[in-house]
Amino acid sequence: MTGYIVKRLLQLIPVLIGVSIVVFLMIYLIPGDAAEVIAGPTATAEEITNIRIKLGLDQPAYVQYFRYMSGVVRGDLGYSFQTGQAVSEAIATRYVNTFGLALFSALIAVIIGVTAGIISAVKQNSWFDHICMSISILGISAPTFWIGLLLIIIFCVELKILPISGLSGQLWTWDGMKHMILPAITLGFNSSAMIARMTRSSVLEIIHQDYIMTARAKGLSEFIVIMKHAFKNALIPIITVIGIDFGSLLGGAVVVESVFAINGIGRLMVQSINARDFPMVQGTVLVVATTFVLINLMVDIIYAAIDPRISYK
Amino acid sequence: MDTLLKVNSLKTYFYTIDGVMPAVDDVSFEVMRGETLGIVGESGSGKSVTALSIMRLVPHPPGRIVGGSINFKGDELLTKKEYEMRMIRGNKIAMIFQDPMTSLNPLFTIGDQIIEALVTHQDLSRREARDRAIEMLKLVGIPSPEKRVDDYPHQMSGGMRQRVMIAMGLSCRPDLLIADEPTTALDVTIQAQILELISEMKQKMNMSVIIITHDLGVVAEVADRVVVMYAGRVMEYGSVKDVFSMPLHPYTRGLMDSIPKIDVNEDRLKSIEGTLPTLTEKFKGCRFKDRCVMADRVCHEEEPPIVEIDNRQVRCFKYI
Ligand SMILES: Nc1ncnc2c1ncn2[C@@H]1O[C@H](COP(=O)(O)OP(=O)(O)O)[C@@H](O)[C@H]1O
Ligand code: SF4
Ligand SMILES: [Mg+2]
Repeated sequence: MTGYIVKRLLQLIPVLIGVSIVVFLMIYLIPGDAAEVIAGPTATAEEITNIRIKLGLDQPAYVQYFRYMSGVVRGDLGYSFQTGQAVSEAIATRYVNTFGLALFSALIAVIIGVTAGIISAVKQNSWFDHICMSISILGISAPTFWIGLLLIIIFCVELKILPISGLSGQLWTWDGMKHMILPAITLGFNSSAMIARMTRSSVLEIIHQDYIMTARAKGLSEFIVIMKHAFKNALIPIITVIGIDFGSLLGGAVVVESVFAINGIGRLMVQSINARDFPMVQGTVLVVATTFVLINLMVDIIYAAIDPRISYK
Repeated sequence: MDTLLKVNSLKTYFYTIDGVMPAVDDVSFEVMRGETLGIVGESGSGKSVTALSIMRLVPHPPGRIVGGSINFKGDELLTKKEYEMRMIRGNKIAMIFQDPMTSLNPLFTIGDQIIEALVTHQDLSRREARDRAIEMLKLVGIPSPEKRVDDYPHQMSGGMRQRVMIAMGLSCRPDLLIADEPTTALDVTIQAQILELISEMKQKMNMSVIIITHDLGVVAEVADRVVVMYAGRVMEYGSVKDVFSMPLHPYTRGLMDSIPKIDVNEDRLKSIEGTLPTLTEKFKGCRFKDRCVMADRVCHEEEPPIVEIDNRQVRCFKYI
């Protein structure tokens, strides 16, 4: 197991280098260059050239890349063209909000999805099963912004029990939590539907396996048969869905952050793209992409922890 | 000898979209203490469903026990509550299955899976249960059991896994072991070892065994008496000695002819031509009629009852 984790960590290095190269090159695909943006529309060609030299933009791409990366490994992602703030600093506060939102909604999605999925499988074709599966179709097909607006109308406008929008301060406060509930449900609804369906089909498949009959023949209660023997086996496809979903939760956060006016990394990314604030764009994309990669690693390690056949070759 | 298990007129039907399938239809037999009973018949004749009925583990839906009685040590099993059955399963009656590659949970160590059976039924600490598990592994012939106890199933061969299944089944010292085709999925050389192990364990633990197989050769090797099943019915039932020296039912004779014989040099094994009938409501006559070389008019009209002759039961018009 330890060997497996070390191996996976080593495999991470080329992936992360690849990610950083792609993120770095991305800037070259955007029309215009940083010097023009900084210099402003009225600048002369000479001014632009000076800025270009000052920023090192006249250097070959690989030199620029190594210069950028030597900053990255020290936690220095450059400075915003717009505000002059350190990119790492700007990202840090917003990252907490977005990651918290994704985590919160993943938690909601897992609890609801797994519970509903198991009950639906065990009580296959019952009214509970039918209702759950109908709701989950809605959950999968309804767009996030629509769900978000619907929830705002119900809970904020009609019932007036939750604040409409605008998490600007700290997430981990009571006020922050109240601001987080609706966005988290909005974001988690789709995932919980996916997780519920995956859990159901996975448990249904597993309960027909021979070892489930062995477990019953041992005299175990149905609860232990399902929760220990069936569920642990069903977990592998479920973890896969949770991993993929957590990634898309981070991506989906862009929409939800806009609908609920949350000061997160998704909004920061959109704002900096609009402003052509290149260091900020690079920084946010790099951080989000790295998070994706790390989540994948986590999923792989969880697989190996669940299934001894994975780390055994 | 006293009776341990008495199955009487057992009926287990499956209710599917294609209609009602009488998988086990009016099946009766007894298992004495210390005896090995063989249940033989080709695939689909209702052997596994009979075993699952005894365990009360028939998948429902679509299956259901619709009639008969199963008496175990003087107690009726068919009226027992689910929690009462749980105290019998794995404790008084253990069952092992055909495919050792799939009957162990891949995500738990074999020790874990044996310990689970022990702590469910006996007042043991985990520590004590672990020692008992190691003891059982040793008893079934697993080398260095104190190490293998922490192995996962995928680290063992098929034969070893079947030994583990046997160790698990016997860990609570059951009165009855039901082995459903325990050697079918194994290599020929391993088959003999597993059969030998079952016989040896039966002696050591003083229990009864029901061994289910499609191979009369297996019955000849280990069983005292045999039930020949076909399409949900008992066709012949008697001591192995009697049945082998003089099979009465045409189906039993067909099965006998399909046992490979070492001394006879045949190109091909004889096998009974045809397949199991589809039992719809309209089905009439003897269930074996379409494949029977001795079938005549009456066989197509009516079904023969099971009758007793010379300490043996047989279901065929030729003996009425
Ligand atoms: N889960 C099931 N659903 C529907 N029919 C079943 C099921 N299990 C068994 N049967 C029916 O019962 C018959 C006997 O099955 P089984 O007892 O498994 O045969 P075998 O003698 O090979 O062990 C099968 O031919 C099938 O028609
Ligand atoms: S009753 Fe008729 S068809 Fe059935 S086994 Fe006997 S002879 Fe054959
Ligand atoms: Mg079978």
